[in-house]
Amino acid sequence: MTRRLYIPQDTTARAVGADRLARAWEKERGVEIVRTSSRGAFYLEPLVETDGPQGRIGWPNVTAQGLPKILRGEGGTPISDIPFLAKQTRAIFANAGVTRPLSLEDYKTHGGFAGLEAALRLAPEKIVEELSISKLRGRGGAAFPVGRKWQTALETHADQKYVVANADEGDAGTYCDRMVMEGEPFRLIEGMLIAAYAIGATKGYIYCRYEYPAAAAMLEAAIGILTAAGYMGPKAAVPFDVEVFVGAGSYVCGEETALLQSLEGKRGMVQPKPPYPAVSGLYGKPTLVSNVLTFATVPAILARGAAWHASLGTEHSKGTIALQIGGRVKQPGLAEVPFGLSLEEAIEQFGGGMATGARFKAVQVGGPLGSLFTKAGLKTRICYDEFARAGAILGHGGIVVFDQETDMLALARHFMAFTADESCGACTPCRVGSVRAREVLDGFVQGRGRPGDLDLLADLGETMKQTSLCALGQRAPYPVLTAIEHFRKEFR
Amino acid sequence: MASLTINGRTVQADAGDTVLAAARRAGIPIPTLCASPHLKPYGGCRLCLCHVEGQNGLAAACTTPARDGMTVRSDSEVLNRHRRNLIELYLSEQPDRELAASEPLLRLARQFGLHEVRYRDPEKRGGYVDTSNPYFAFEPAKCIACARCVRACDEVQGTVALALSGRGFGTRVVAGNDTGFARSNCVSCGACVKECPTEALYEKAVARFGRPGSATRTTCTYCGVGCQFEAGLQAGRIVQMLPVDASPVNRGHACMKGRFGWDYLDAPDRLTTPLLRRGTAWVEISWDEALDTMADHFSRIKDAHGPEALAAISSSRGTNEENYLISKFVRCVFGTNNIDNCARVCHSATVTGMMETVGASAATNSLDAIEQAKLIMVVGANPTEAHPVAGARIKRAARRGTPLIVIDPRRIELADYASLHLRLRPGTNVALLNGMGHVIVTEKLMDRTFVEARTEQYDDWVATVLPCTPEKTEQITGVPAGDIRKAARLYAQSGASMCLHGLGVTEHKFGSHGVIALCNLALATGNVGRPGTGINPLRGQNNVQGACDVGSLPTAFSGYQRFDDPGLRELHASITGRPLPQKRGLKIPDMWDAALAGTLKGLWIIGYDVAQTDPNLKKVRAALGKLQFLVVQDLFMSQTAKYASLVLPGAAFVEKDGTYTNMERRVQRVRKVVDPPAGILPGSGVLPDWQVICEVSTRMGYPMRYDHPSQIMDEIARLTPSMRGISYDRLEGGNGLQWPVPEAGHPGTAIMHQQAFPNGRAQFVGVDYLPPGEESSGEYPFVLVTGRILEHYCSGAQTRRTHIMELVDHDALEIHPDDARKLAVRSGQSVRVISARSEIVMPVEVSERVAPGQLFASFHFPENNLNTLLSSNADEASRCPEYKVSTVRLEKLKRTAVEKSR
Amino acid sequence: MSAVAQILSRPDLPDRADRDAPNILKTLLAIQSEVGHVPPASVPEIAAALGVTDAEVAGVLSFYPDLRTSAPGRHVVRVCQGESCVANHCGRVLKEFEKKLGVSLGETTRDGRFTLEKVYCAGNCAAAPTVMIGEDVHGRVTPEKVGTLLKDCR
Ligand SMILES: Nc1nc2c(c(=O)[nH]1)N[C@H]1C(S)=C(S)[C@@H](COP(=O)(O)OP(=O)(O)OC[C@H]3O[C@@H](n4cnc5c(=O)[nH]c(N)nc54)[C@H](O)[C@@H]3O)O[C@H]1N2
Ligand SMILES: Nc1nc2c(c(=O)[nH]1)N[C@H]1C(S)=C(S)[C@@H](COP(=O)(O)OP(=O)(O)OC[C@H]3O[C@@H](n4cnc5c(=O)[nH]c(N)nc54)[C@H](O)[C@@H]3O)O[C@H]1N2
Ligand SMILES: Cc1cc2nc3c(=O)[nH]c(=O)nc-3n(C[C@H](O)[C@H](O)[C@H](O)COP(=O)(O)O)c2cc1C
Ligand code: SF4
Ligand code: SF4
Ligand code: SF4
Ligand code: SF4
Ligand code: SF4
Ligand code: FES
Ligand code: FES
Ligand SMILES: [Mo]
Repeated sequence: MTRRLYIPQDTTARAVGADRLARAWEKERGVEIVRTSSRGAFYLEPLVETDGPQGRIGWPNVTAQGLPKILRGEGGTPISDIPFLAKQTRAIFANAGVTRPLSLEDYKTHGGFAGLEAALRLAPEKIVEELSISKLRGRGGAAFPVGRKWQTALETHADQKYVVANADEGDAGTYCDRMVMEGEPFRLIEGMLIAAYAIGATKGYIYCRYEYPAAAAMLEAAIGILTAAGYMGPKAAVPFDVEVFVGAGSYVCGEETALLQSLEGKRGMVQPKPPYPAVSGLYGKPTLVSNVLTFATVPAILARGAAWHASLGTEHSKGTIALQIGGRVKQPGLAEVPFGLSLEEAIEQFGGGMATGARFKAVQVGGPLGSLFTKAGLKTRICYDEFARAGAILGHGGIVVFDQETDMLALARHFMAFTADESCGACTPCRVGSVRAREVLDGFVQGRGRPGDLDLLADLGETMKQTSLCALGQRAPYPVLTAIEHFRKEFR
Repeated sequence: MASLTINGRTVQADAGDTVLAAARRAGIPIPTLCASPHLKPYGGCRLCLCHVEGQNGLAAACTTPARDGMTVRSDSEVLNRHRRNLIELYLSEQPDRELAASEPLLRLARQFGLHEVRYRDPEKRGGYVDTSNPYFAFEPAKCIACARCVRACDEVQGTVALALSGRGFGTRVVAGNDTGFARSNCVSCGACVKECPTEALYEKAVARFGRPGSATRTTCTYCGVGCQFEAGLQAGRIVQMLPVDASPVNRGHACMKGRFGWDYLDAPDRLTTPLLRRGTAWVEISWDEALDTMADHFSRIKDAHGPEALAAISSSRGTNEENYLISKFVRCVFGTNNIDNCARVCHSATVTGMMETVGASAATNSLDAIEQAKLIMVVGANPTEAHPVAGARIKRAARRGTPLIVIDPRRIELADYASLHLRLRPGTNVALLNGMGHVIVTEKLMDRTFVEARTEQYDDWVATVLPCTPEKTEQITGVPAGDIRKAARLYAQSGASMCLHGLGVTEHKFGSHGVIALCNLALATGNVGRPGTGINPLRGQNNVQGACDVGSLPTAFSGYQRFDDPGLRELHASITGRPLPQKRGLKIPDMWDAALAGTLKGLWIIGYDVAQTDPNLKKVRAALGKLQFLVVQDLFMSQTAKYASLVLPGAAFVEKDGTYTNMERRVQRVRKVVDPPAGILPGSGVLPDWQVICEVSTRMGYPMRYDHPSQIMDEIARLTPSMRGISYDRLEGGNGLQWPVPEAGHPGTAIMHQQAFPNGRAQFVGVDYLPPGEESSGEYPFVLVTGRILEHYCSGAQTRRTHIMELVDHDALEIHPDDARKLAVRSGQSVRVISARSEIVMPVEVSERVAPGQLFASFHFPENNLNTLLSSNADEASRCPEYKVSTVRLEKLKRTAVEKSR
Repeated sequence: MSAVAQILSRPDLPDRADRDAPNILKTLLAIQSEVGHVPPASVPEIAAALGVTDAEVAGVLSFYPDLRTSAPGRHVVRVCQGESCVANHCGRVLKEFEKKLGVSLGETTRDGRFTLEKVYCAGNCAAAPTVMIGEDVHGRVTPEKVGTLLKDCR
């Protein structure tokens, strides 16, 4: 009897040796290797699974020498017993680690296309209504109500409309979009097909960052498979085709207007709004730009009903959030949970507390444009409202925990240098301000800090926040100013 | 219309207005740097931020649409604090020394109470200065990356020579592939310089002589677009020509020549003193002497040989008043109609062709039709070089989506923007246009109602075009039959098709037939008399339209009135006191024949270099040589002046008052801004042409006394029904007047023939295709087309004396790469060009703009003697020369001694 | 025909599928993927092939950090500087690379074998610190592992 071994194909799993295992074992007799997506419990990777009587059994952190043990069934843990996974509410990532990314069969047997089928039974207006009822908000950072955006795109008349998936995933510390694209590309495309049908678009693009070659390849393959199977292309039920466009390494190209410029092959410069892309976007046509995770959520809403989605989470933050917990925690990985738990709960229950030898110093939520929290802020609940009240953002759901060894001045400088590096240059407060702020911080680093410099940073920061054209410049002061607020002693 | 409140004031806004636009209209100041009324909103400088009631955060006035009921505040302590901080950021990246920072930014700093920059050792912007353009320089250190220059080059000029490069703090402006302005595709239109808010881009003349202290509005003296400029004056010298935003002609835009190419005014070889020929030498004389000499010689010739032995050629570069006066002089003093102007060699075929069909010889519509048209057809014209401001407007329309048909043997720049480029063989316009007519007739694309209500002789035209199937047409023209069908359908069915044509139609053996064929198409499809339609000749020189309008023609009086009109004869006699000569006069080519035959003995040429720019120069020069007395009045010692008995120094456009009429019939003022140069002798110095005419006339017993050109215009108005309502009073302040202006209160006519044609109905005139005067043969295998380039102007007398020479300093012969390969020549090498008339030597430029077997040469440099190659073939009706088709053969130069020694 | 010219003559470039304007970025990426970089001297050639101006191409080429204007080393080593990696003290990993290779960030070794660069997050944050060598992602990289990683590059 051959034993089936499930080995994830995900980039992080591979980065810690999954390919090495697969290569080492592929010639073993009695072994069939199945490459799946990853469960997102990355601290366990490479996580090898086998079929057990009550579901899968997993072997964490396997090395090539681990095969005999696995084959003997020694030391495995039923996946359902892993608390990190068991405590999650998996909807969008329900199939993570279970299915083969490019198996249409797997996708369908695990609920694939139920959303599209449901959508096709509805009039476009009804679909938009469902989304409004679901209270889904965009997962790319700005948290704009999805129903409203689709409504605008639907109501704007044009000979051509576009659907664009924002797969630029620029926030450091985040990888859930990558997991969707590498793990279940059909789900993203299904969401885009529903969008195309709803607003009347025939052409779509997935703008994928340059750093994700594996995701781009997976998407290309998925598009090929769906086209061959008649789900896409001019003769499909939704006449729609999708092209994968690979960017060239610019954080600001994640901003929707810059992204569309880049997609047209131009410089990725931010454009003033209005007009909004849903009215005048790619090539001046109505364009629905949404985050990968947003699109990936849509099929579930259509399949399970708007009410299901609206039943999860807090009053104004409905559904689940894909937390990507990283930094100096014991258990870095993806936790999909309904909105509403506290930061502390997230770090403790899922992150597993601090890594060995590390003591908590601060946590950054929402990527380079987010804010720093200290212990005092850990009670903050993870939802749009409480974060807004704290002057913070959830961004793309990245949570990065820093330990006692972190130099907060260096970190603040790092954030401002990032902004200065990535500024598109369209507006003055960010183009010049970010460099000036970095220089002031450099002054501290070099021990030339002056008493007035912190006031200067605060004054400049206020102008950047209030006057920048896009959120990069508007948010860039936050990590720096929160670092100063909490760790003033280090800025000397 | 929206109504909003800004700073407590109620303000009205138009649809599509931004808050900034509404505020500006109401005179509410909001500080801006990146916004411009000529450009799309950008929202980069953030100075215009405002509070909008009910809205979180601040809103940029320049990008926020004005909404009804909105309440906006544009000044507050908060806003001013941010503005101060932003200006501080700007100054922090500018050069340290006070003087080196941008002056406008320093002014803003003072305005917002910013006294110091708090940043220590801030990184600066790059330090080099690009001075490669002859007229403006770029100092990146003062740049604030607002991209107005980049956007102007794209949105206004459509050249896209500039881009932002790098990003973030490293964002800077580059020209071309970061090669500097001179080595980029920049056409020196100056739009970027005008937009620059910091003087990072600045005009060298302004930097050298100072900012203008005062400005006077005037009209460009180069091409027929008639752009409006403010001539900026500093210490009695012109330091700047700034295009006028309010002008409907150029809307704040300009081209290289008008904007910068006026430095010939100070050329060291400007004529300043009358020169009398003594054998082979020139002697400087006073005006008294010169004027007496002229009066003596002309009187003597007239007495001895009669009026027909005298003639004058007027300058289509001069004013309407000067043109009217010289024709008045010829008619009243010489007593003949031997008066002509440079339109003869240019758009005379248009005059003839349009007269025969629509009954009036001028553009039927205005430049504004470019934006109104639903389709633009450009036939035998190269507006991005010859009428650059019109060209830029056409490009903009095409880029906005207006379909464009280009009919030209060469791949001119507009062909890149065209939906269809019909690359016909030179000289086959009539065949092609008849072929399109065939499609219109057989596919029933005509406008029946229009044809029946407004035209005559339709069947005559149908009979002419019916045999011209697209397939037969393809054989003659080389244009694929399918494209001919497409073009015909597009033109006929757009709803509003505008035709613009140039010398590629007129300068042919059957040039007037080409114009007629165009008019037939427009009439058949009802594309006349409505917005965005019409037949619109791109008139050449600044005042070639006006010169014809006021009667510098041997065949018609001012306003194209017939000499035998009894009413006119009476009026003329009552106003001038002299009879109107009844015999048609000599056209320019006839003058050469008459001179060679010895019947024409005295000639006065004002501002026209016939010895360089007329065709078949050997003949022209021989004719000039046979004259007893030749007066040439010019700014410079032209090729023609070298044949003169007497040379008179002429005043340039900024040295005199008057009017020019542009290609859309718009009469506009030129104004005296500076005094003409002083002469070498007492009583010499430069005089405006009109004063010279008055003086000579007076000395010949017919006193002409005008204190000011406005009085001449009043006289023109009395004699000319179509200009009766024009006077200088009405031209002050406004944007000129488009004739017909039949009476004083009349607003002028933007679109002609809306209700009726001058003769009631328009006439179809069937014209058959006839081959050009020369066709390629074994001996002369190449077809040579001649025309112009952007950088130089006609004889080059003016542009060759400007710093434009740093950009282009020679004429070249464009040759297709295949032909160049066969001949084994490379760009820059010279070849011998041989026609049946002569042979010359010229450098080639290998280019795919020309088709194989065809050549193109410009005619701006006298040393090439290009026009000696050309024949005297001309359009029968108008005598417009066949400049566009000559056959030649090429020979590769054997290495000459000179070349070897290099 | 130059390598650039060959790529420019490919039928899928310029990409003008459903619009008038050619896609400059896509073209530059195509050239880079085959030539390894985009030589600035080839800008006029690219512009001519696409029917755009030199400035437009130069502007795009200079905007994107991942478009290279000179040939990189045979192996491009990119050490992540994203927050998760920073939290996991990737600075030490970077220092080790600089020491072992004898170059600083942004430089190429004399022998042309390695170019050392940074990347802002490779999406491998849960296995930080991250190093990308070519397209291969390596996770949980410690200074001690740097030597082996370099040795594995041929
Ligand atoms: N820069 C500059 N501007 C100028 C002038 C100048 O010298 N320099 N001169 C001014 C004057 S005087 C004039 S009249 C205007 C002239 O302005 P244009 O009429 O635009 O000038 P050209 O370049 O002489 O000719 C126009 C086009 O006719 C094409 N052509 C030649 N033969 C044929 C043919 O058989 N059929 C068709 N359809 N096309 C043909 C040529 O290829 C050329 O592109 O420009 C005015 N503006
Ligand atoms: N081969 C070839 N030859 C051509 C053409 C062609 O296409 N091909 N085009 C023909 C055409 S369309 C034209 S219009 C002619 C133009 O040919 P020209 O009229 O000969 O050329 P321009 O340079 O316009 O001006 C002639 C002279 O007028 C002088 N001038 C300018 N302003 C004034 C003024 O206010 N007063 C006086 N007194 N003088 C002034 C200038 O100094 C110059 O010497 O060339 C024709 N020649
Ligand atoms: C500097 C900047 C970077 C951004 N990067 C991303 C990104 O990488 N991915 C993303 O989906 N949205 C990003 N956004 C947000 C987008 O502008 C946009 O709001 C989003 O793609 C809309 O999709 P959603 O409604 O599904 O969130 C970014 C915004 C800014 C200002
Ligand atoms: S804030 Fe920065 S990234 Fe955003 S538009 Fe301004 S310069 Fe560009
Ligand atoms: S939007 Fe910005 S750049 Fe434009 S005018 Fe207003 S402040 Fe200046
Ligand atoms: S002068 Fe005109 S063409 Fe040249 S860069 Fe400036 S705007 Fe562009
Ligand atoms: S050169 Fe002038 S117009 Fe151009 S970006 Fe710089 S400041 Fe703006
Ligand atoms: S387009 Fe003609 S009128 Fe206007 S500036 Fe240029 S040459 Fe003068
Ligand atoms: S003028 Fe509005 S942002 Fe510059
Ligand atoms: S922060 Fe380094 S891989 Fe994401
Ligand atoms: Mo002309």
